[in-house]
Amino acid sequence: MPAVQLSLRDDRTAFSPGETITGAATWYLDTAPKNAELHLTWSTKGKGSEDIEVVASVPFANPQANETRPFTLKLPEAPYTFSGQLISLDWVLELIIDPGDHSAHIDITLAPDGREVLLPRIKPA
Amino acid sequence: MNPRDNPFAAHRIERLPFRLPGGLTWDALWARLAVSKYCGAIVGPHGSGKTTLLEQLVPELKARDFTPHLVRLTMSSTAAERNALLTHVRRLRAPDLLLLDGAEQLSTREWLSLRSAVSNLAGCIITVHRACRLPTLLETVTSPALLDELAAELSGSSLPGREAAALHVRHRGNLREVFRELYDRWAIIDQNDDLREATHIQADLFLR
Repeated sequence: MPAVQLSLRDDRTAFSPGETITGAATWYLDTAPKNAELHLTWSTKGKGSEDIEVVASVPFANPQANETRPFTLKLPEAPYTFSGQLISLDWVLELIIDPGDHSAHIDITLAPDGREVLLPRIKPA
Repeated sequence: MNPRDNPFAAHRIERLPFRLPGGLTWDALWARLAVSKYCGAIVGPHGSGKTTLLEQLVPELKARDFTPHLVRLTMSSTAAERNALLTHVRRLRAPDLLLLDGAEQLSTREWLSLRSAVSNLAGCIITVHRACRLPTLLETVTSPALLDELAAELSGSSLPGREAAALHVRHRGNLREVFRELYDRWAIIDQNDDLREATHIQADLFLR
């Protein structure tokens, strides 16, 4: 059965802006895929429509059917992981293997000191 | 509660499986699509699930060896964007299949140009608010019972009493607007811990 996995050094998932992520992408497939790529994406979740942006991609050239590929990725300075009243903004590292739509993902926090920014709630009058 | 955790956050609603109306089964819908040569319209009012259904057809069409192209037009789509759509469609060939959300945004002239272009495609499924432009494949409808079912799936709790009927009437059957109100209600309840204790309302404007 196909298996796809992402792992980060020291299992760390909280990062400060500008830090470098180090990890490994692993897949076990029946046949060599056409594409294997790592995406760094932020998205908003909450009341409104979801906004999403892939800010960095790491393509793995000539992917074989079964292998582990190390990677490093420098994080941007912004936007921070945050939650307000209407929306939250989340970051995710996602490994996508094509064809077959195989994927694995890890949710990460990108914010000063690796702590999600919580915006103060506005109490109704 | 953070917005991402609100059961009525948009990303959770968008992942709700479409409920086929009137006892129609998925097998029957696919049979209907095949008979119509994958050409027709999904017809329904605002917030009745047309876009959801169109999106959920994409992986199924891929599994049937089509190459679906999902395009959305809205009231804010510009003439340049509509022309870009026409240019794009003219380049397509079967097994490409066009899924056009918001076909009414095209003028009659633009529609006729598109209609000519899709003759080279494996099919064309559109969404419209009233029956027009292509034969109706399916009409999307909402009801208080459907609202109750979806709210329960999202929140884990049913709406109390006749709340589903009241919401359905107030928002004229537009479930997108209903869910926006329920999002606000859930967020307010979460903020008001004191109110919750005083009135014994838990997350449960929704619990019977």
